[in-house]
Amino acid sequence: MTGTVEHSIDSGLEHVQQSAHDGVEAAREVSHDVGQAAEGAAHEGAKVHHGEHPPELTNFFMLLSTSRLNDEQAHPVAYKLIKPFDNLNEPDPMKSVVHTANQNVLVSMMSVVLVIVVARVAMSKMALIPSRAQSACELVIEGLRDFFISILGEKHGPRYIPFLLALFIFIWTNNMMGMVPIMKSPSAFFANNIVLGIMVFLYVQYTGIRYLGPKHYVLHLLGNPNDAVTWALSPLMLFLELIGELIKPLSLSLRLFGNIMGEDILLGVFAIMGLGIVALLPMVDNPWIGLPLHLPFMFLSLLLGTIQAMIFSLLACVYISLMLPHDEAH
Amino acid sequence: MDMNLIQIGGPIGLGLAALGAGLGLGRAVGSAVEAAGRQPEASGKIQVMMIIGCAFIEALAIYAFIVALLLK
Repeated sequence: MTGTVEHSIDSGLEHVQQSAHDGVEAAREVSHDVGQAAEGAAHEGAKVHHGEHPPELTNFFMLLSTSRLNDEQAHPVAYKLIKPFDNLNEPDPMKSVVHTANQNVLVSMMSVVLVIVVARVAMSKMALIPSRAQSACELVIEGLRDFFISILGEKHGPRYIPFLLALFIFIWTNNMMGMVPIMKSPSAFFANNIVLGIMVFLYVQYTGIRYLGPKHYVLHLLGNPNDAVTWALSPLMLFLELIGELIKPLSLSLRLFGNIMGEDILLGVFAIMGLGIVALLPMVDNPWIGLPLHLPFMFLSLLLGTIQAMIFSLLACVYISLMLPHDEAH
Repeated sequence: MDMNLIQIGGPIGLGLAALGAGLGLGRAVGSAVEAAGRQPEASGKIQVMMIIGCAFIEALAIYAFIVALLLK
């Protein structure tokens, strides 16, 4: 009888062990899913929002909107301040777009203020033998200036250099803002880029009209017709040139937007994967720190951010030089 | 299956665009490396031109990525 009792106790223990093992397995599955979703405010983790928002690294606005200050009853004043920047708790996605606009405008303004402060501090004591900060700024400005002048030509080039340099520095600082730990890059927001593209488009057309005169500008759009055949083809040329001119700002902004948003999503997905790997460990149930699997993509994002800023301003330079007459030797 | 057609066609389009971009980038980088092999002192300029050309070709694949992401 003791044998059967022992046997039943053993089998009962086995059952308990088996169910405990199943429970641990199930808990591990759940924690794996939780680690995958990463709902906790992880230190270097990533967040997946409710809805179809693509994953990206945690930034200051996410932390603010999930903090305890974002409570309407408890902290009404702080709630009023935080609400324009909150896009996590907003059920209506259209309003969320506007709130995201507030976030991106704020970070853009921060990058502009940063550039102005750095330039002022570096150029405050302009000397013939430059200090370190001044020579660094001069390195950037002169290198870019030579590069753009080599495309635009010496005679008419220098009047377009301020616009192109401002474009490059603004876009570069915007892209690099995504690398700072709790910031986001405003270039990952489409409205930011389409505005830059429209600005380049309007400036190029204004340059064409002002430099060529209205008559030659229209002739340029018609494809410079000078005999009967080209005059007959000119409506087709007008159509093609209009489409070509309208597609340029769209392609410029989409290229920048796609690259930077793709990099953000890549970083977010790999950070989530790092958290998921840590969640597979037996004792962990809601990991705060995961493996930094997104490290190589940080370097890639630095490189691509610089290259995309360079490409944007280089293409603006090329469009301006296409509007100017081609009768100058390089 | 309650998927709409864009969830099947989006990734297929993205794969095709990546295929085209891979072929184009292979040609561009290949000729850049070959030119640098012929004249190593020009390799700085060749590298700059290669980076710019690669950004153009890459942008075409990124257009497909944006369409697949925003229309899903």
